[in-house]
Amino acid sequence: MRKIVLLLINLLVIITLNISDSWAENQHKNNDDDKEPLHNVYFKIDQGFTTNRILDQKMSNLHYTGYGGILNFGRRVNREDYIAEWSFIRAQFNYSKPLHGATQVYNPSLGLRYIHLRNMDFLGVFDIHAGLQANIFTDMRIAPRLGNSFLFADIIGEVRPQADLSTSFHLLREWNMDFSLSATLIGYGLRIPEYGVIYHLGVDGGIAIQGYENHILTPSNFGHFSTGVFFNESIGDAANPNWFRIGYIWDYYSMRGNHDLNVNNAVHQLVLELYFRVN
Amino acid sequence: MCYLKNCYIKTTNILIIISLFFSYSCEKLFMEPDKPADPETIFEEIWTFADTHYSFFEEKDVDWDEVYERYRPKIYEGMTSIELFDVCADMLYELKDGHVNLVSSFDRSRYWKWYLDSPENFYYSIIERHYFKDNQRYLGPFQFLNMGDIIYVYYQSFGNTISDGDMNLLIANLKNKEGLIIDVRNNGGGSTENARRMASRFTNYRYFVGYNLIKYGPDHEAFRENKVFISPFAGPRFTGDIVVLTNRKSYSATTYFAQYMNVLENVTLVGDTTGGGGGLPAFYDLPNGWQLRVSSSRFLDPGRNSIESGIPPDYQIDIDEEEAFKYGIDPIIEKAKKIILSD
Repeated sequence: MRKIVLLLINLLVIITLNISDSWAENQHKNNDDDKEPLHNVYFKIDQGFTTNRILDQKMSNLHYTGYGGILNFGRRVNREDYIAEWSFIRAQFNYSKPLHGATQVYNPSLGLRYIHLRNMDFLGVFDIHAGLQANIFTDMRIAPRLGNSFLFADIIGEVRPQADLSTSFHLLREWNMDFSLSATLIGYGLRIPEYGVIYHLGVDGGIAIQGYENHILTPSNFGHFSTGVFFNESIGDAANPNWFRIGYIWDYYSMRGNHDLNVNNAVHQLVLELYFRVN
Repeated sequence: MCYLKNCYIKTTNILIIISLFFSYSCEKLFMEPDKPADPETIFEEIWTFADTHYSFFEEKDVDWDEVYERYRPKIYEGMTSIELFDVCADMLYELKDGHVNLVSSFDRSRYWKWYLDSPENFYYSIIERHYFKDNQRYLGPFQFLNMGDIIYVYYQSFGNTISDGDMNLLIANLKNKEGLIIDVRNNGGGSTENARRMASRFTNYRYFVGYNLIKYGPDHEAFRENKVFISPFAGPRFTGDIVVLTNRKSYSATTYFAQYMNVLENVTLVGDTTGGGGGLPAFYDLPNGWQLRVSSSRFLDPGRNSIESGIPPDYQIDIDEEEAFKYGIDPIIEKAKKIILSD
C-alpha cells in the first residue's frame, strides 16, 4: 500500500505542476487585453547518441559499457517568468558488454518527466531558471544467458531540484549557451529481482515473476545527478521562431540495494533537441 | 558593471568546461572497479555466488564451507584456464544439480548423472517408424497423432512456444475422443510458463499445485514462500482422461509440468520418475568471460515434498530396448492406451 501511495505522490507532483502550467496559460488566453502571446509553446524532439557504463551487482561485479541512442518527445512552454517542459516519451537503448566482451546486456530505458523552472533575475547578466523536476523512469538490463533472458530493472519515481543557466559569449560569432544541473532530493525506487536473478524471461518469452526490493530514496541511499551543456540557435523567422540545441548530457544514478548489491548507471548523451513552435 | 559581466562570463565558461571533463570520467570514481580475472578471484567469485544463491544446500546436505576447504588449496597463481575450469567444475559437481553449469568458450561443466544411471525409456525412432508412420501432424510445437479413440501428442521442448491457437486446435481434435496422451519424455525443459499454459487447459477450476520458495537473501535457508495456483483457461478446455508420459530426461520445466498435472484427478503419470530440476536458475558473469548458473529457488508439492529429485509416476514402466526394437512397440505408450480405454 505504501508503495502505491508513494508512486501516486510522484504522479501527483507531475500532474499538479502540469495543471498549474495549463491554468496559467488559460488565464492568459482568457484575458482579452492580451493581444500578443507572452509565451511560446513548442513541440520538442530530442535525438542523440549515447555511451553508457553499468555496474549492477545483482548481475556481476563487472562494468558493462556500450553505446546506443535516445529519442524523446515533449512539449515546452517558454514564458518570461517560467519554463515548463513536459516530456511524455523518453526512450533510450544501449547495447553493452563487459571488458572481456564474452557476454552482452541490452539496456532499454523508458520514462516521462515534468520540469517547472521559475526565472530568477540575477544581476542582469545570466538568465537563471530554478525549480523542480518530477521524473518517473525505468531502466532495464536484459541479459541473454544459457537459453534464458534474465531481466534486471530499476523503476524510479523522483523529485529533483534543477537549475538552468543561460548565457552568451563572443568567439568569432555570438554563441548562446545553456548549462543545466539537477540532483535528486527524494524518490521511491523498485528493483527487480529481489535477490539473485530468478526474474527471467523464458527462452520463448515466458516470464517468471519472483519478487522485488523497494526503497524510499534519499541522498543517503540514492544519488541521481544530471548535467548538461548546450549551444542553442534559432531557426525560422520572427513569425515562426523555431530553435534547436546541441548538447552534451551526463546522467548518473546510484542506488544502494539490499545485501550491498548496488546498481550504478551512467549515460553520456550527445543530443540534438529540436523545438517547433506550435502556438 | 561591464567588467563584472565579463568576469562572470569567463568564470561560467571555465566552470562549464571543468564540469564537462569532470562528468565524463567521474562515474568511475563512484563505481567499484572490475574484479581481476586471476584464478583466486575467479574461484572466490564462483564459490561466493553459489554460497549466497544456491538453494539446495540443506536439502542435499552439502557442507559448502567444507567443499571450499577441499578445493581452495588446488588454486594457484599461474594455473591455466583449463586447470582452473576443471577444479571449479569439480567443486560445482558436488552440488549434484543439472541446473548448475559453468560455461566457458571451451567447455561446459554439467551434472547429468540423474539420467545417465537410469534406463533410457524413450526411443523416438520406434515412435516415428511404428506409431507415426509419417501420419503425424505438426501443430505448433507438437507432433500429434490420431490413434482412433485417443490423441497422442509428443512435445519435445518446453522451450518451444505454445500459442493459444495451438492449444485450441489440439482441444478441438479431442472432441468425441476417449482421452489424450501427452508425451514429454526427453523433454529437457524450457519455460515454466508453457507448462502453466498447457495445464490451464485441463481443468475447470483453479487449483493449488505447490509452493515456490524464492531466495531473498544470502543465508542458505533465506526463502520466501509463494503458493502457486493454476487457473483454468478462459476458452476451450479438455477434462477427459489424460496420461502424461515421463522419463528421467523429463527435466526442469517438464518436472514442473508433471507436478502441475499430477495434482489433477483425471491425469495419470506413466513411465519413469522425472529428472527433477525444481530450482529455477540464477546466473552470474565472471571477470574472465565465463558464466555461472546455479539453482536459486525451490518448489514443493502440496504435501511440502521437494520436486528437485523428480516426480514419480503412478505406473513405473521400463522399456526393454531389445524387445521394443524387435516388436516395434513402446510399452509406455501401450500402457497409457490401456489406462484410457479401460476407464
